Amino acid sequence: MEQILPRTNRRESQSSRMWSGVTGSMLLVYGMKRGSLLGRLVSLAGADLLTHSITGHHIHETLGLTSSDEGISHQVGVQVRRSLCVGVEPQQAYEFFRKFQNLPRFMKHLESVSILDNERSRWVAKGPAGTHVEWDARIISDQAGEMISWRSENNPVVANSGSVQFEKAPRGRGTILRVSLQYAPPAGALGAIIAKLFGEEPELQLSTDLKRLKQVLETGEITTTEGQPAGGRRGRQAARVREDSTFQGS
Amino acid sequence: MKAVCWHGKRDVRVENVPDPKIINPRDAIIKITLTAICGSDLHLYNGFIPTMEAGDILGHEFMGEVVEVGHENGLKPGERVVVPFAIACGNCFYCKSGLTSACDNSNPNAELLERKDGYSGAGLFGYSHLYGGYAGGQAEYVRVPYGDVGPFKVPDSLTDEEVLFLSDILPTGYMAAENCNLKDGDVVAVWGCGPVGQFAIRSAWLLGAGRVIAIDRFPERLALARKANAETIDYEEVDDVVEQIKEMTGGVGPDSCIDAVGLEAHGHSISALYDRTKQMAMLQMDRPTALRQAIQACRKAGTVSIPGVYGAFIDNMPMGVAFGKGLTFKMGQTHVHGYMQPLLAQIEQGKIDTASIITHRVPLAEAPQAYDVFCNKEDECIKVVMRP
Repeated sequence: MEQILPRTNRRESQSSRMWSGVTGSMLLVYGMKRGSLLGRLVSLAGADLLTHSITGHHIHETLGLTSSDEGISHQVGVQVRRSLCVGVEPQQAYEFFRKFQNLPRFMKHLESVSILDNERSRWVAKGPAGTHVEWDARIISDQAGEMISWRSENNPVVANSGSVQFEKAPRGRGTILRVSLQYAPPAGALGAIIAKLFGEEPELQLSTDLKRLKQVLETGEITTTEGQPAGGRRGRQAARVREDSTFQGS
Repeated sequence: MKAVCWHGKRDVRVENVPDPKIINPRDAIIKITLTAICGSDLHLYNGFIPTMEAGDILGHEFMGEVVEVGHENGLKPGERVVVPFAIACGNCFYCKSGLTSACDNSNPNAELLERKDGYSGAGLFGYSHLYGGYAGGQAEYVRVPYGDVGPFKVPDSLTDEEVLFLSDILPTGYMAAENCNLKDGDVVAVWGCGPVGQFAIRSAWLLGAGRVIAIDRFPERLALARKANAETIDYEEVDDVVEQIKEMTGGVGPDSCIDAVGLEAHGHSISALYDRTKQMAMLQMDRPTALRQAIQACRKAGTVSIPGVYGAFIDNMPMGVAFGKGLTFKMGQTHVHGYMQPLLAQIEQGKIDTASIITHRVPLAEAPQAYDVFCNKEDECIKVVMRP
């Protein structure tokens, strides 16, 4: 549900708005013709200019991010929530999660997370066709053993935020993790690309990620069959790969 | 290595495939010395189980020698082990409670199974991608995840044939009998005299039954049941199995009924015909003839124990009868791990003769023919073991 914010009191000249409109449309068309992620971002910039020339609003305003922003409006964009019971104490689950560099281990859309300082980290996600998208995240709330929440900072296109609560499970069963992720893909083709960053079916993605987290915390491993033998076409493909490597002397 | 690979309905082939390797630190690689075809493998063979892919390696009853371990876990190369058919992590709530077939962590495709059924249990060896897509043990080697939990060491004093069935069917038959809430002298009826039913019969005696009635139609299976002191009913010879059982028990009905048949039940009653028609029209997936009869035969306030595999939905279940009688139902996949030590002790003491159910012994290379014989119950086949 989009929430259009009230028109700000900006006065711009007719000609400057026309200029924005023309440049914006050109960038939009150029970007769409390019088709790559860069092209998408260019077209986004163009769309922004065009939108502004017509409506007086920037695109990021329609995403609910204003300069006086306190976070992504929960009425805009996508929110996914998932909870899962994990058999370790809340403090242990919290400590593992709080080290954000651990996140790529179970969140498969993330390539890496590096710590910048006590509050900030740099996240790199796998984009489509081998591209990467980066953003910085800042911890907004950090209550040891209870909850963490964070919000992205410097890349409005992939603006996202999230939180995780660590609730003591009944009967000594460990911790109920409650994760909530929000992101706001812009409309249209770019939005579809951004959506892919967070998983085509974000709730499914989050659910699978949490299962992996449970496996890591409970068993120390992520359960998998990747690399196991099979017959049929898969077996022949594996045999061909081995032959090729021998041929190349590796 | 050679492995038995699924290629479609009634099409299994022995192929040359890569050897398994250690993938995770807790893995172990087992060199297989003996493996078997299970009745539930026939559901795969007959195309009842979705998500099979051509080339999937079959087999969940196997044992052998440890050749490689990825992690210090008490297993050493050279040790002789039997491996449970369900894979258990050992760490989750269910594993810690001994409910290993309900393991939370061992199915990498848990999400897929959850979408279908709303939950996921343990991953299984060689039993479709819904249950993890793990390469199975009808092969020369197998990778066993969580090698510190599953593999169970067996003494050299017992042969492979004597201990192989600790992997699945012996604990399954035993758990089925245990689930009957048997009191000393109770009457137990067992539908299905295949290998699981045979072990359920033998286990029922061990657990204090006073009388065991067994139902099937194949003469060699009924004969084997009689060898275990069961009174048998050939359901092709009697008009009404339920009436026959009531006659035998003075109108009371057995105290407990075991359905060791499951989803591929046969039968000639009206309800069986109904099931087959609906199944062919894909309106119903399972054929619960044995279960219906068990509910109808069981005495009031008795127990129905179900080791027989069901996969989907069933129709026309006499739920009103079950409720009115106040029946207890116990069912599910076997939690093999906890039964292996006590059952090994029973085998060592000569209280259970496990190898006597084996009727066919073939090299792994003859697996395709063996599947056919086992499926059609030709040649008086009851249980096939294969040596790689």
